[in-house]
Amino acid sequence: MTRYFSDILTGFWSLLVGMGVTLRYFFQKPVTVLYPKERIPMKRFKGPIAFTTDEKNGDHLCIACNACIKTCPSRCMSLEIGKSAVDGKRVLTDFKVNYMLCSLCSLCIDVCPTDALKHDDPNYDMVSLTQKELVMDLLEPFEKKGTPLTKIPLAPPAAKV
Amino acid sequence: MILNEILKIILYGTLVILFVSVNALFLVWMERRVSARIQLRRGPIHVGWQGLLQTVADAIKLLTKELVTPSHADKFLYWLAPVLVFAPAVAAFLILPLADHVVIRDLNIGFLFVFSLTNVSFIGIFIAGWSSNSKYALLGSMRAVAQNISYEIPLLLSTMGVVMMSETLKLSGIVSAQATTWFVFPQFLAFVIFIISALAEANRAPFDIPEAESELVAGFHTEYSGMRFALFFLGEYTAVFISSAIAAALFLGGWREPAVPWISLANLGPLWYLLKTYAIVFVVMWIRWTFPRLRSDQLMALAWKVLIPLALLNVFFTALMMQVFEK
Repeated sequence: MTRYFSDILTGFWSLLVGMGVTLRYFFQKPVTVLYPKERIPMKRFKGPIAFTTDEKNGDHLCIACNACIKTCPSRCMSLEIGKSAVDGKRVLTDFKVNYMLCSLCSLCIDVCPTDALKHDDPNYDMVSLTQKELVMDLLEPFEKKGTPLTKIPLAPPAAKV
Repeated sequence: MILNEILKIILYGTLVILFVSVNALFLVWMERRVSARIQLRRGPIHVGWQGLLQTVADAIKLLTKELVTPSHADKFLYWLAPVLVFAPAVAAFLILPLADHVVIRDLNIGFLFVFSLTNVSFIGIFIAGWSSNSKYALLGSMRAVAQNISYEIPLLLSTMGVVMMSETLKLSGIVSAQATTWFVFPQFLAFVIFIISALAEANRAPFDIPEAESELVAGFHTEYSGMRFALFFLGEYTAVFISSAIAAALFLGGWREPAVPWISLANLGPLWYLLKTYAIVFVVMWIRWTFPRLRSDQLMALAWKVLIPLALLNVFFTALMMQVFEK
């Protein structure tokens, strides 16, 4: 008889404890992130390949050495070089990454002698309907800004022998 | 005189139906918000202020859906069942005392009227399962009837203590008997039993065995679609509201303000009543999102081995106390 009542009491108490747990959660802040409105820094996420920006003059750091092109296992990168009309140095004229082929292995970033490349981690909402948008021109933002390196006049291409 | 009565019926009927619809929409929204917060989510927040119009959008969607009748279904009974479930829930608004002398019909049998009407809605539930010609629906409705017959007994027994103390079945009389103390204090055990049995009567979790979605798809309303399904839904949420409203009237002093000296908002009767009702509705939702569903035999064991003996004990103890202290 006492067992019967103590069972009921302990059972009822356990129910109350359970309700206490849910009530505590009720007053906690929801963990949902309203994604398009709110953004959070992503951890352990590799974004698409992008140029780093030099803090001094807002320019890219690429010296067109071709190291990344050589090391890329999926051959998704390509660059073109022109000759400066001022001092005859190598000038980067085009740098494209085919993001459809890129496996985000980071080898190009490791091999770059000037640390010109990086993963653009905050860019985690990339989506496109056509393949064209996924072949990314890394030089384009710098050309739009008109940074010094993109303004170097080019010597006319040498005649092919 | 007759014209007067007809006008009254039309006016009250319209008001009650209006309140039932708005209340159901609000309760669905509230349920989704409460469940979301307990699970650390946000719930509907985009449509309207704080997502309040989300359920209105859902209702409009339900109105546009096709009414499917399963093949070999009993067409007349299939049509009748949602009405039988919905109508008693609405009729229960007749007796709710909103304030002093503000009640549509102050019946002498009081809340027993509501409980007898709820039994009609179980017939509706059984008809729904029977006429659908679907085994899930039939199993669900059989479980519903078994459950409701068991829980009717502790539900009514738990109210007996209150009736003995106030010496009336009229809800207005019971509320006025609580002028000094609410019955929840001397009748706490009865209050708990009432809430548990009311949960089982309204087929709410953790007693939602008749519509256990993991076993029975959706129970008795598996085959229903569109506005017929919405009527079941409306009926269910109105039943929750009605049980909570009666619990508030029986145990929490109805429209009386809390007996604390620093709260002197005497004329807010209906508001206090609504507040208490929604507080109980919140507890009901809180319970739903805390506990898992019971098994069918556990449900029966709880009713017959725990709730009914305790309710009988409560009746006996109340009588004893009334004799000892000469009421």
